[in-house]
Amino acid sequence: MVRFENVTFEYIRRDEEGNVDSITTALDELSLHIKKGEFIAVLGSNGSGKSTFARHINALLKPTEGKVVVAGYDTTDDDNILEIRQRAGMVFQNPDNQIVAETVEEDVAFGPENMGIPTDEMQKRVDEALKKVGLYKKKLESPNRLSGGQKQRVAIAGILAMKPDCIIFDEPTAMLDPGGRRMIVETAHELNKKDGITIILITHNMEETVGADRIIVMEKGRIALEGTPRQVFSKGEETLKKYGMEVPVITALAQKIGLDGCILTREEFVDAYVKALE
Amino acid sequence: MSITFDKVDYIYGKGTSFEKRALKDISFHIRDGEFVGIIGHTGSGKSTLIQHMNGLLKCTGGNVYYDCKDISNREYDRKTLRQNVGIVFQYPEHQLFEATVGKDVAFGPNNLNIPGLQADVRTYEALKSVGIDDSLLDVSPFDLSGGQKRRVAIAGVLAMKPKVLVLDEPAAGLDPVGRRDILDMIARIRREENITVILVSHSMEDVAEYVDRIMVMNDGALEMDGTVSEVFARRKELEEMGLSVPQISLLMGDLEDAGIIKDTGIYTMEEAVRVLSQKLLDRRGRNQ
Ligand SMILES: Nc1ncnc2c1ncn2[C@@H]1O[C@H](COP(=O)(O)OP(=O)(O)O)[C@@H](O)[C@H]1O
Ligand SMILES: Nc1ncnc2c1ncn2[C@@H]1O[C@H](COP(=O)(O)OP(=O)(O)O)[C@@H](O)[C@H]1O
Ligand SMILES: [Mg+2]
Ligand SMILES: [Mg+2]
Repeated sequence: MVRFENVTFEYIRRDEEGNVDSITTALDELSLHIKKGEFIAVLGSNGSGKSTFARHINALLKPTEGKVVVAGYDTTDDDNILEIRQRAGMVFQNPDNQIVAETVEEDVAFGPENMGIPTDEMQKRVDEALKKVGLYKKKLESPNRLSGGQKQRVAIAGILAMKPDCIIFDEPTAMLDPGGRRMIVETAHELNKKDGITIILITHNMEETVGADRIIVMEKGRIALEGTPRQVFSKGEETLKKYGMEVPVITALAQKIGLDGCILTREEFVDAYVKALE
Repeated sequence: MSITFDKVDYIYGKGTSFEKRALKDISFHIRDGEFVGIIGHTGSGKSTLIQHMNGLLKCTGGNVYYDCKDISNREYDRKTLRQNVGIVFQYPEHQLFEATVGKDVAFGPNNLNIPGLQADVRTYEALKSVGIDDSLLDVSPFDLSGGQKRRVAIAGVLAMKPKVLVLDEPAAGLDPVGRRDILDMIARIRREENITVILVSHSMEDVAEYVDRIMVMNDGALEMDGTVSEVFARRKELEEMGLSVPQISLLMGDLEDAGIIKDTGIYTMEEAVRVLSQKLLDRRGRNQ
């Protein structure tokens, strides 16, 4: 679904005369293959290159060197951009910056409209997408009146209306209250399970990653660690700290009281604790 | 300084068709030196509430007192109020604007007409207390990392030497290590400077770990106000308000439901480790 081949990306800053002022290598010969239907969580400290990585998937950025291929389309070829943007949608951190229209329904229709989808087909898609994120009843309301979590779900519906193969979430829960967070993470999992949509979730919240198929930890534009949540979180606190991470709270507690195995969820904890007491 | 809100009401756009009653009859008293957390769903009124704390917004009903003095009084010195009550808004780094780190932090003191040398001292001290090295004084804030920018912005508020420090989600968007660093730093500053700290947060974990008392906002009303354990004992109500309880509380609840432990009201890692290890030890003792 998504393939990075030796991708290097440099942000080049220039002074007024156009001379190069500084170069930041944000991706450093990164190679990665994401399969269709995978749920990937991307972790790593601030500035490790996560957003730069994400922006390459829907061709907002293009590699300085190397190649990114999304659903068979090379992102460096400008003729492919519409195809790529339709297949890979992106949800950002700030819910307020993503609202473009007066009503929820118009907001969701914005993307497909730009793709030239006929009106009746579009109405169908918009309704379907809004039902999926649980906001159909609010379709005639102003998006500005919604909560942060609801605004994020409007953004998700806008992507769904384009019938994407893949959704990239760049810290979508950072500004949300606990209820909003829960809802967004649940929605992402549901879209992955029921509709087979490939999910790439960037987050600083360790709890949000335990349900992922694979975790990728970035550092200085490279992949520092990679594996199932259990593999990654069993690396221990010291290793994870180097990458700006912690182990999930439940995992940390289990490790501290000496429960065997790498425990990720509350259910696993209760089972393991009961066993330990026997 | 102690803070008292007495039946405070606030209406946005009063008299227009957009009227919005954002604060409803809010009363509380915060003692000097307390560490208070404010939680609440988005739109519950947290930001509106904290803007009343330094007079940025004036209540449309009720009164706000500092050390028992009504701040709406004509004689009340608002300039001193702004100085005494420092507010660090959400994503404060977006408001950095000076050419260098030093100038940015000194902006507040300079504005107060504090003499040059004294302002410099304050700038140094503030940067030191947020852990930004002197060598960065002449660097542009825009060349710093996200976490460093956030620290510089907080230093700008600390340079005013506030007696009350209010922070709106100071750790939002930071990675877990950066998050812990910032919160540890705030806790340390509170201890060292003996100031009142009010922390608005969406993280139940952070609130559980750092503050002594929690105020819960819901739809403009102060729905709960109590110790951390009192508030987190009311899980169902919190969830209905779009909030939650810390992971540890949820787990202890599961263990209780499974009949393994009794109701403990435990919400911190430390306590959970203590109680759960003790139980394991007891069991092993009996098995021997
Ligand atoms: N527009 C930009 N111009 C220059 N440098 C940038 C820009 N955006 C990001 N960077 C730099 O690229 C690196 C990676 O940033 P980013 O991809 O945003 O990381 P993350 O999302 O993991 O926090 C950082 O060093 C950052 O400072
Ligand atoms: N400048 C404003 N004008 C009108 N309504 C506002 C304004 N700022 C906030 N509100 C409304 O007041 C309520 C409380 O908002 P706010 O204090 O920002 O909540 P929180 O910080 O808890 O998210 C919300 O319904 C919000 O939409
Ligand atoms: Mg980012
Ligand atoms: Mg707010």
